[in-house]
Amino acid sequence: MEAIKSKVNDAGKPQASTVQGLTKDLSNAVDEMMRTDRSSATVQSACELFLRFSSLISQEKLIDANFEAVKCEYVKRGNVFIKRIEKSRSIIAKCFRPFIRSNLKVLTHSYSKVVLESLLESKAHGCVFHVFVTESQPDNSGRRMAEKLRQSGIQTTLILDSAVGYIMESIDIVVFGAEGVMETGGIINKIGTLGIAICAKAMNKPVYVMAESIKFIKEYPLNQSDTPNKFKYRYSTLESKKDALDDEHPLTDYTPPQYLNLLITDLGIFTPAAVGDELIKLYT
Amino acid sequence: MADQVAVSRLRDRVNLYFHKTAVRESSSKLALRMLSFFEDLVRYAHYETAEQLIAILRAEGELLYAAHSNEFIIRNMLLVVLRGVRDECLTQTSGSDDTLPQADSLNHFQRLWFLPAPNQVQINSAQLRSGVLDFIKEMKEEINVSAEMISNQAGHQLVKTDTVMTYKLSQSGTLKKFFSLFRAKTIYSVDDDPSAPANVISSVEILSTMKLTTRVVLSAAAILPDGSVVAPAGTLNVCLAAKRHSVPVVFCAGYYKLTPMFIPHLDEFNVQGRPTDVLPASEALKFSNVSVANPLFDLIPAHLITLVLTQSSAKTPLHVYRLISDYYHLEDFRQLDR
Repeated sequence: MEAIKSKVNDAGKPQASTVQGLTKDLSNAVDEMMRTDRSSATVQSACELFLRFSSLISQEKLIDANFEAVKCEYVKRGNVFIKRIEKSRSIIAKCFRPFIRSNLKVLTHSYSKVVLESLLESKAHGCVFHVFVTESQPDNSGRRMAEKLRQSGIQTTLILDSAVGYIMESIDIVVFGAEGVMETGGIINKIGTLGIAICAKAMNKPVYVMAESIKFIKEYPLNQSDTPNKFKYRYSTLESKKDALDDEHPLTDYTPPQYLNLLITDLGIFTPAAVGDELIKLYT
Repeated sequence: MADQVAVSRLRDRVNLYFHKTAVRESSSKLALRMLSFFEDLVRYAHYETAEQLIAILRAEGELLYAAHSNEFIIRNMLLVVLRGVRDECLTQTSGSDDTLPQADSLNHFQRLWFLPAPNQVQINSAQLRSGVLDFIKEMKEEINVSAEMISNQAGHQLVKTDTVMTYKLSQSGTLKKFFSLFRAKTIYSVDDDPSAPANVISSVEILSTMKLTTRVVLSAAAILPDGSVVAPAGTLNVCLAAKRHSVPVVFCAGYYKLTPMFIPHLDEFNVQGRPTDVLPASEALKFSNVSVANPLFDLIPAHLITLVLTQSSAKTPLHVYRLISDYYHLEDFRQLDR
């Protein structure tokens, strides 16, 4: 989100006086952002989609000789983009409400703002349920999630990452956020997601993924080693240890679509098979 | 105000239709009656723009669906008609017969992320009216021939020497047509009444008979976009037995049963039949501490189904979602409340 906002500000400021110059400036800004350590799959896909969205201004407007007007147009579209993204989470929360009934036991992994917002919304509508959150090492982000859930009065239990197999038999549904949604319908998410998904499948528990549409990435990985390194490691790690990545722990893993039941996005609820079609529509 | 009176009279008449029928008619008849209701609305209501027509149809349709929320077909037909209205609108504004607009990529973004601005273009309402009425007539025709068109595909799916198992043959119009047009060598019908044109077996014999079966053909009550199916209660047994013995399961349904809604738990939607079907009233006093349930539907998950036959196509459950966008328009079902 912040990435996009800074991009829009950039669009308002540049010295470029032609459209091509502007596009190049924007791409440079994107590259700069990719080079920071905060870059993750989400930021990368969001930047790409933002670039596409802003540059697809209809041809008539581009022919306008007044470049200031064109720049204004870019900034306006940037703002429209931002407003739409801000609404994504509430749309997803609304879509998710029918899936939660009372007295349900929900398992989730690590800290995800989308999942948090959806669970809070269901609680606000009067559903009483119990959430189990994995600690999710190495950064202990599950703890933050449990804190936030407890603050709004949802019964929460923090469990060890290794306790997932033990707890799975008493769970009713499993919910993940996603850092990126692939063209296969699979997702990239915090490391550990794949293990939980396989366990859920083995015990016949439904797995739902919540992701905004800006997280759609046009990649088609076939297995873990196929996933591009830029999604798995931070940029600084990639730069410093370019040839010796074997010793590094990846931060994310790829969960193939056969372990997922449904993807809930702001464009609607999809089966993993349908996500590829939607992706194509976004990227053409 | 004349149109308000007309609309309320139509509303009363359709509600009466629901109350009069003691036994539920077949789904196709219900679908036809719904289409007639919307057709009359289009014909007699007063509107200037397409937006107004859509608002009227949606208001009446949602009201009816709220009163009878276990009948998905009501909303399915509403969505079909709304799609017809939007298509008609598009055809008229673009001025050509091409129903697929050559939208540029920007429009894709716009349509996916923003609900489009209300149609400002003034459409000739008389032309819109006649266009939509023609569309509804076509849709009705499709319903009438749906059973036959499904049966025409039987030749691709079955051979004469197949042993076929089905469920409650005599209660499904689609299945009756299917088997009358295609005589398989042996047909087993589970839990049917003895007069059915098949070997009737009871549900306890499903597993033992499944060993001899080569195909299972069933009728769906509703098809959901993730490929799962709502079917008459008891069908789940047949499907699980078929999975156990690796027998392909084929579900037949007309397009009016395609429901653009996901059902995570069927309990919220399941219709209960009469408890006296399970426990006769004369025994009720003896069993006063027993709660009698008579759910009418089962939810069959997608992994138990091999093929879904509609009148136009045969699709695997993974690809059923494509049919949804064939028949319904994105804007209408994306913002559905339950």
